[in-house]
Amino acid sequence: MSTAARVRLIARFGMVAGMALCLLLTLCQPLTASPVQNRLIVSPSGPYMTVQDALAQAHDGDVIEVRAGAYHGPVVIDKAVTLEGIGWPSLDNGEKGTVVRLTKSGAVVRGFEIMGSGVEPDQDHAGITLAAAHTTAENNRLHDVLFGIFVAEAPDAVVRGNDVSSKPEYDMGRKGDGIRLWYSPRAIIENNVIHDTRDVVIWYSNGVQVIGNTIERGRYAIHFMFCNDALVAHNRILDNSVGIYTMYSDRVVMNDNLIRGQRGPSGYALGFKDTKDVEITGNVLVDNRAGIFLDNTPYADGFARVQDNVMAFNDVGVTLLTDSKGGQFKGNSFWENTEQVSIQGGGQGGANQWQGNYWSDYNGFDTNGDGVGDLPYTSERVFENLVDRVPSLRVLLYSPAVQAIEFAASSFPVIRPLPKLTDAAPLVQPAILPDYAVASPGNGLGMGLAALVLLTITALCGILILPPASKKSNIAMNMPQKPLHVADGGVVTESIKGKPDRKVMLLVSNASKRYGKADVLRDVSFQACAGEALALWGPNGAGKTTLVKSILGLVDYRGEIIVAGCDVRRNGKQARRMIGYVPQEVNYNDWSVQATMHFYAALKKANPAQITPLLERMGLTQHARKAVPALSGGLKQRLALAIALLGDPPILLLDEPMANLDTQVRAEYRALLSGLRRDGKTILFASHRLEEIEMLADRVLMLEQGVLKAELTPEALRITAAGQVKMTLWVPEKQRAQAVTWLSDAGSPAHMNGRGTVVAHMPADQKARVLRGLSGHGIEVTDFEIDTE
Amino acid sequence: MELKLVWIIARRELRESLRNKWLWLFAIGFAVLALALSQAGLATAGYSGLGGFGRTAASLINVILLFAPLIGLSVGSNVLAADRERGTLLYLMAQPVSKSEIFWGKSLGAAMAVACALALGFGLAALGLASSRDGHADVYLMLVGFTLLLAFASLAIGFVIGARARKGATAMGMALLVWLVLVFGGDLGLLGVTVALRPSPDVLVAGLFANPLQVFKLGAIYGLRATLDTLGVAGQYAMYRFGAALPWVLAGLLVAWSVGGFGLAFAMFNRRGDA
Repeated sequence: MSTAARVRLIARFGMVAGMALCLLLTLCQPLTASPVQNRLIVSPSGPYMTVQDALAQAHDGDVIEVRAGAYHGPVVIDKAVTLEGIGWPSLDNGEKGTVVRLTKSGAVVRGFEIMGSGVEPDQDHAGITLAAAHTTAENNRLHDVLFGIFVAEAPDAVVRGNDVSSKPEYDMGRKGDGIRLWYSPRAIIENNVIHDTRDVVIWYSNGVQVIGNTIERGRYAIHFMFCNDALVAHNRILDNSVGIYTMYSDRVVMNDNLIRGQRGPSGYALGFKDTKDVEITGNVLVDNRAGIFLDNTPYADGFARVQDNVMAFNDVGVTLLTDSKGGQFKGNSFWENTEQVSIQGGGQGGANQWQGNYWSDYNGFDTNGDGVGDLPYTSERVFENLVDRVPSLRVLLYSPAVQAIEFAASSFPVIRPLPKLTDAAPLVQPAILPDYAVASPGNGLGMGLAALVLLTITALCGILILPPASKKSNIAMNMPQKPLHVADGGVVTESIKGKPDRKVMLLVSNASKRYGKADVLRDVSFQACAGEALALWGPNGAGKTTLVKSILGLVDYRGEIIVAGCDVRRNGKQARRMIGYVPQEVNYNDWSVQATMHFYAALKKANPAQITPLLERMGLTQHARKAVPALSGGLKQRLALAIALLGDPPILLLDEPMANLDTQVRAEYRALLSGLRRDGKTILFASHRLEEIEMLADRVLMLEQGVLKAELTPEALRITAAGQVKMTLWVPEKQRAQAVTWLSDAGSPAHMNGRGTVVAHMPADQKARVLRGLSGHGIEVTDFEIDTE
Repeated sequence: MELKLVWIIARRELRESLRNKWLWLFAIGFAVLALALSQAGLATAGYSGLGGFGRTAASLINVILLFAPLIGLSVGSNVLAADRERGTLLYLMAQPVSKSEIFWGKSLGAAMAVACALALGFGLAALGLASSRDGHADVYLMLVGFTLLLAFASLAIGFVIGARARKGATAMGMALLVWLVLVFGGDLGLLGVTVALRPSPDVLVAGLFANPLQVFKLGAIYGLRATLDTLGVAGQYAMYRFGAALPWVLAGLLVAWSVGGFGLAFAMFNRRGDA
């Protein structure tokens, strides 16, 4: 056979074989795919411009591919076709009716953005309605729809991978359900994200599976009713009013769900009413008002197994109504629920089995290390017991009083209530959390900033408490050495004791003060002119300090006090600006001398430049940086005088400023005051000491029991106030008896004391006469001491 | 009243109050507890992320209810009474300043001291939370805000005590007594009344509003949860009655306690015929 013949033979064989193969394929085709799947394309540029046009031309089994673009509803899929969006085409129904309706078994809608349903709740206006068996809605995005996906009498329907939200402008009760499923047995709802809708309602449907969904911010995350053989697993139920609530259903399995943040009025994570044969396993129930709620569950002879769940940080871990009996709680972790178990209406949980659970408030121990506590766990908190009986007491949660009650109960078992429940074999370690339950870590940035803000506030306060800056003033400012200028307004002038007319700096007129029934001052009147120094003389309680306080406006008084023209009662602040005040003793804070001066300078609005020369004049320069408490009493009084002189006030008011000073310091202080007197300050000072008065005072005001008894010169005071003295005399031993005799004869009663001295008593003005008399009689006096009596 | 003088006295009082050992004792105690609470969850593998911040903040509420009034009352009662006892108040009043300048300066300084101490505690706790990557700054700062209002209300009550007492020790004793009444007495009384009389929610809420500590608690919980449902029917009633205005009502009540307290204290201080 030639080569050409061989080629023709092969070609002919190939043709026959090909035809045979085609025939075979044609014969086999009905067995593998029927009818032929057509792919119809809908896009803004055609071939089909609308979904409805494509649907009209489609046949069962066709795929209608809708490209990205904005399309209008309503769409009714009444053929077993797949309507598939590519690039998220949108279907908008303009706020009318249901957007997409699947009425033929086997119809599928996927990949669309669906919006604009009607808003009539009684007509179930939805984004998608599945109204036939074996219909599917998957991977769609539904928003601005009343109901999300309505599954009505659609057995074996599938709702998968959709993102559903409702009308954002409506409040919770007005929104539609994310998914509403009625009379649709064996439906599968999985991997959807449903948020900001009302409920997911699943009623009258057996064998439904709800798996892997996320349901957030709704009212009832899932509401089951009359749904036997339901499976709910691996869902994330977050921040709804209620989690999964199941009523009148049998054989319900709920496992491995994370339910967190159900905070509505009931706020159950898992609630069951009249349900039996319930398996609740491996769920993590966190931060809800109640983890599990059982109402007449299990009923009849059914069971409710609650096993290996975590109930953490809920207000109540498990809430039981008193009619719930037969529950089996095993291997669960009760972690820091405010109330681990509540039995509403009070009573004990003994009708249920509690075995081998972990309780975070367990106080027992595990000596053999088998993971089981050696002591039983008992729940017997007083406050919980009270709340179970009087629920409104819950308002006292987080109150320290509640802790106090529990502490009292633990200390005094007599007030401890009967145990609510007993777990004979409590676990000592909680369950290890599954991965899906572990919160993703935050970044902590916000809290870091908050910490920064708060610690900055602390630091600012720290800066504020630094003592006033110790400004080194180099300004040479000497204290005035001449009489000071005095404010003119309202100042009276008067001629006093032959001195030229001077302004009255202090006028006290009928000043009276009562403390209770005691008159401390009674109609005291006097005046002091510029440059004059007045002493207040009187025993303790005479009213000196009260008079000083009255002049400063620190106490209420009757009468009138005018300081440099200012009425103290009406304008005490201005009057005090004219006064430098030195008390008997001052307690300062722990600032340095200089800082203290700066504080009072600011308060008195004095020029800070005065500080340095004042410290110099008071001999405090070398102490300027010392803390005031470290100063001696004398130096503190010098500081008080320096402060008093800040602002250069014309009047100094001194309340026994040298009372606590020793002799040497007193002398130095007197010298300072003498200098100020020479400078022309008007000085009013209280004192007990004659030497101070003689050195400083022009006049003496003698106070007695609040009454100004007399106004004297210092000399007259000496005579008036001298009184009796006790003179102790050191006399040679052989002359002592002679001295005693002579003294007694001379009118000065005398005796020898046990220490070898002679003690005589005499009027103060007779001291010199007595000494001269002893000397005149040849009695030698080697030394003597005088004490005022 | 010259504000500059008020500020000068306030700065002095801030320094003096910060030297108050009670303030630091309580402030450090608060800081340690707050920090410990912020870290406590970490000790329990995994669970801290669950309860996390909300739980920490709820625990903080308990600590705050004990410490904030204690800080406010102890500082407030001490400011006037101890100064009066030492004679420093008299010396200050002998200067050219008015009573109102002294009073409000001291009040401001004491308030700054209290704020400083609390800010330190909260700041450390916030650091702890930030280091554990936990917390919501807005919620936390709201808690801080309510705490400051509570502390200021307590401070004002402390000033009322201090305006009356002659000695620091007396004032401190009275402050502790008031603290006991506010923290325990009021709640125990409310508890007893609730058990015995079963008052309606509005009466219960009114009872809560009469105690600044409970007002704080409501505000703090609202800040955490944006609801008071967790407090049962009384909490729900408060939400229903005041709606979105509730946090403002609560903050306003605490402000009223502060204003009323300081106002009363000032009247007593001003009316007092001696220093």
